[in-house]
Formats: sequence, structure tokens, C-alpha cells
Amino acid sequence: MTSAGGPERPVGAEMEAERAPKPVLTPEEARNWRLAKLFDLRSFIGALLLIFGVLVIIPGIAASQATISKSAGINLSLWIGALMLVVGAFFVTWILLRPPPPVTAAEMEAVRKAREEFGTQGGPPAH
Amino acid sequence: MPAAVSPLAAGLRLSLAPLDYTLLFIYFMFVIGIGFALRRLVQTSTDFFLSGRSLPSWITGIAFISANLGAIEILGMAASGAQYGVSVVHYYWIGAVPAMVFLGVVMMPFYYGSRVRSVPEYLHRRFDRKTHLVNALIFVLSSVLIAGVNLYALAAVLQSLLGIPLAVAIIASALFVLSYILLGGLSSAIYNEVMQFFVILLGLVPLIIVALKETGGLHGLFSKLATQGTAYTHPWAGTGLGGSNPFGDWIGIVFGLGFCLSFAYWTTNFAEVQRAMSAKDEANARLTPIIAAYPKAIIPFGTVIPGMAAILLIPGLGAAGGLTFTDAIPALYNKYLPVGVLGVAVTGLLAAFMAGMAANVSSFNAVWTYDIWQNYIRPGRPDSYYLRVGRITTVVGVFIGIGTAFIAAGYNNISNYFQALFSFFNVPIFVAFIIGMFWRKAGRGSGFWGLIIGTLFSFGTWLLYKQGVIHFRSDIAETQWGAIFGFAAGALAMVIASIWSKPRPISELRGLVWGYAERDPATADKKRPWYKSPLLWGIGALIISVLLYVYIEVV
Repeated sequence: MTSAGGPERPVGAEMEAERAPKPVLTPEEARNWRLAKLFDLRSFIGALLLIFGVLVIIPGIAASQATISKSAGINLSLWIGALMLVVGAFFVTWILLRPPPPVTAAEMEAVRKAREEFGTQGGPPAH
Repeated sequence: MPAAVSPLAAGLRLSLAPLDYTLLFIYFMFVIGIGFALRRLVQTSTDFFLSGRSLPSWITGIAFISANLGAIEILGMAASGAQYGVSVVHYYWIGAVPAMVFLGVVMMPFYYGSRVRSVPEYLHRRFDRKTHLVNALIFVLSSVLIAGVNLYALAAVLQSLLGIPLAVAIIASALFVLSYILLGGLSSAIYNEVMQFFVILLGLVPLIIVALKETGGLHGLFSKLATQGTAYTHPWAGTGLGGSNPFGDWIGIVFGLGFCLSFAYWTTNFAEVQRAMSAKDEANARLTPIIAAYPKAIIPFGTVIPGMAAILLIPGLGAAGGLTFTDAIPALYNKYLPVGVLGVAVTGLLAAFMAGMAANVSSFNAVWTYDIWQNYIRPGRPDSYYLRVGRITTVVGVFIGIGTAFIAAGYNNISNYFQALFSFFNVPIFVAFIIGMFWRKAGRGSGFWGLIIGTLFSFGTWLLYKQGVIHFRSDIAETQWGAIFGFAAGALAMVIASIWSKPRPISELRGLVWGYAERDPATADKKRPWYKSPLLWGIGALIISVLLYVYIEVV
């Protein structure tokens, strides 16, 4: 039905986008693409967990015996901090390896039109 | 299913270090940052209410579970675990997973493929305006009121655990939720739900580790709790018809909880289904609740099990004058978590409260705008008009929520009344859906009668039970049997009403009923690899639930 990479390409079809030749982007479109990568949910989760991981693991490295005894003899800060760093790194790697596809202004306009139509689609048959 | 929560004891105050407050602050900066980042993407009403139908299933799936994983759920399930023991897992393995799989495998094509924009809109197209209006109004009313109850619960926790004055906590958290939904619409809510999911889990994981280490693993925990009675550590013990398990008999658990109540909540509650409807195509929409079923199956290990362990680890839990069962998780946090990890855990709890309210607000504004305003009040306006209505509705909804929160603060029991009141409608609404979807000949007007008669029977059962006319072994058992009676009566009423009420012609039912499904053209022709099959993953989730029952029994 829809050719990969063509103007009718459904939004978010990353797989097709990677195989299709990269469209030439205008400066405006390139800027939007950079923002889309920066504001992807994976970037937010990755950044948050990396920051949290660093802040939590530091007291874990310097944990006193009293702190460890409080948590049933486990250095929780160390383990949970490390876990957060791993999960955070996973999300950052994911967004770097599989960024969202670039979208041209024409495609964006087509999508916007379709969504406007969806929002105001004729109601059900009158009763 | 949302659990009712008793207030926390006043004595439990967490002592947060500056590092914990820093983590809290960073998290909430991220939340607002997401709102601003997504603002430029909200250009149409579809963007605002359904995230532009553009999200992949891993995001919608996590949001689906997260919209349910509110703090009331976490504190409430841990409290029930402490009070009733391991039987609470019925809420997950039989009371959630099968319904989620059914929604994804069977029902989602009708929601997504028919291009309806909300759950009530389905009833409009399938039945008539009466059915639609009743469902839409009940949903709108229950959403704003329960948003208010959530808000009050959040403020009560802030007051009890951190010492923030109640009024300040109510208004500050409401304005916070308002600002990020106003900026980014449903996408804001969903992004935050996904982020919150990871923070919540990272707060529960240390709790599980410590609770099991202290009690000698699951086996040690269960054998130490043997003094609490067999049913406390065996979910199916005492569920025979004459038994004494407070969760009721097996008929009530399987048909009342596992079918009527659970299917009604998971498959027709728009706050949940909305997340699946925001997926980018039908295949992703179908995978949404199925992906969510996997975390749902393992969450009891982070809520119910720590709750049970708290009985041993927190002396005096649940005793008169001491800590209440609802304190189980905060008390464990306080006793065991070191600085930093405690901050993450508290952040997750507060985020879950806000996400719960945000889910109510973001589904409320969609139904109000699309189903009520666009249908009955101002039809035929351009899309930008409805986007504006949606934003104004969000503001109005949050302010009604604030008002409700203050009322709930004055009358503590009111939140339980709300929950009880709206629960009478859930199952009958589900009757209209399931029969409308699978029986083509169900008449145009039959949905309305199923709804009314079913509600009367649910309510009647409860009333007779409260008056002592009929007897059930516990309140939980009453809700299960009330749901069964409501379902049966509603279904019968629909069959009878269909004798007089003509069915809609097939041309109007395309995409809405079994056998006439419309496929989403974006994915219909695409061959999908077997490992993305909703059926396969759905069966996997069911098998895991069965295995978990077996594991809990033999451990």
C-alpha cells in the first residue's frame, strides 16, 4: 500500500526510515530533528537515571558499617545506584543507536491535517 | 482494581536528608521539563487527547500499567497483603492479567480499527445516544471526583510523611499536575507515567531484597507466617463454598473477580484504554495491554510480599493505636532504606500519586470535549476550537478536583462512598460492551436497558447485604457476587430489550461487532514477525500467571 519512505509513510516507522535513503533536510527540518532526538522519552529516562545513579552510588561507595547494618547487611546504595546507571545507560545507548526518523515539513503537515480530521471526524449516524 | 486506603498514622514521619530532597527536586524538574519539551508537538486535538496516535507499544504498554500503579494501589495492596496475606495476589493473577490479555487479543481491534476516540464513543456508534450519554456522564463525574480523592490522598501522605500542611500540599500538587497536562496533553501524562514506572520499581526493589533477606527468603517468610492461618499463605485455601478465606469462594473469585469486575475495569475504563488508543497503529495498540500484563504479574512481589513481611518486621503494625496497615511500605522505607535510596523511593511514591491524578484528568478532558461538548453542545467547529475547549476543561477539571480534595479532607469516609457509588456502574457498562461486540442482533436501545437494570441489581445486592437480608462471608465476597448478579441481570435485560428494539443495520456496525472487524489500513497488509504476535505474548502472560500460582503454593 504505502511505499517505504514515501509521503504517506505512517509516523514512527523507524525500520523503513533506516533503510530508505536519507531525505535532504532544510535547516528548519534539521533543527526539528535534533529537537526530536533530544526530547525523545528515552533521552529523558536515560538522563534522569544516570543523574540519580551517580547521586545514589556516591554515598554507597562511602557507606559506613552502620549504614550497611541498617539495611540488613546489604549496601543498598551501591547496588541500587549501579542498577540505575545500567538502566540509564541502556536508554541512552538505545536512543543513540535508534534515533527517531527525520520528518520533512511536508510530511509533518500531512500528519497534522490527518489528526485535525480525526479530531473533528463526523459523529455517528444521527439517531 | 483501586483499593480503598485507610489514612496513615500520624506518628510515622520520614527523616529525609538533603540528598533525598535533591533527588525529589531533580525529578520534578524533569516532569515540568517534559511538559515544556512536548508543548510544540501539541497542535491538534488528537495530539492533546490521544498523543496524535503516534506512540510505540513499549511506551503505551508501560503507561498502561503505570496509570494503574498509583500510590493508592501500592500502599493499598501492601496494606491488604499485611491484613489478609497472600490471597491478595488474586487481584493480579486472576483479577488483572486475563482481562488485559483479552483486551489486547480480542477487543482492541474494535476500539482502534473503528476509529472511535473514546470508550463512550464506541457505545454511541454501537447503540444510541441514551447509552452514550449515561456512560459519558458517569465517566466524567467519576473521573473528576476520583481525581480529587487522589489529590487528597497525596496531600495526606505529604502531610504525614514530610510534614507539609495539607492545604499547601493539595494546591501545590494540583497546580503542578495542571501545568504539565496543559503544556503537553496526554503525551505529558504518558511520558511521566513511563518515567515514574522506573522510579517506582527502583524504590520497590530494595524493599523486596531487604524484606526477603530479613525473613529468610520466601520460604522462610511463609513458614514464619504459618501462625496467621492457612489462608494467609495459601491463596486458594478455604475458597470452597463453605470455607472461610476472606477473599470469598472460588465461584466469586473466578467469575466475580476474574471475569465481571476485572474485565469491567480493564477493558472499559477509558483512563486505561486511552493509553492503548494513543498507539501508532492497531498492532501496537493490541500489544499495549499485553506488554503491561507482564509487569502486572510480578508487581505483587513488590507490594503484597513486603506487606506480609511487614507483619514480622514492623512490631505493632495494624495494632490498635499503632501504625495502620497502610503504613506498611512507608514504615519499611523508614526502617531499612539508606539516604539516597530513600529519596528515590519517596520520589516514586509521590510521582505515583501525581500520575494517578494526571490519568484521571487527561481522560476526563477527552471525554468531556469529544463526547459531550462536540456531540451535544457545540458540534461542527474547527479542530483548533476543540483543542482550546480541552485546555479550558483541564483547568476546570483540576479546580473541581481541588474542591473535592478539600471536601474529602473534611469528611474522611467520602472517598470510600465515591468508590462504592461508581463501582455499581462498572460491570453493567461492561455488559453493554461485551454483548454489543459479540451479538450483532443486540438492539439499538438494549445497551441502555442493560446498563440500568444491571446497575439496579448490583446496587440492590449491596443494599440487601448491608441491611443484613442476605449474607456473604466478607465485603470482598459481596462485591464479587454483586458483580455476578449485576452482569447476569444486565445481560438478560439486553436480550429482552432486543426483542422490541431493532438492531442497527450491518452498514452501521462495520468495525464495531465480531465478524465485521475493520482492519487499520496502516498495518493490515503488513506481515508481522511471529515474535510480535499479540496472541503469542498473551498466552505467555497467562502461563506465567498460572506458574506464579503454582510457585507460591509450593514455596
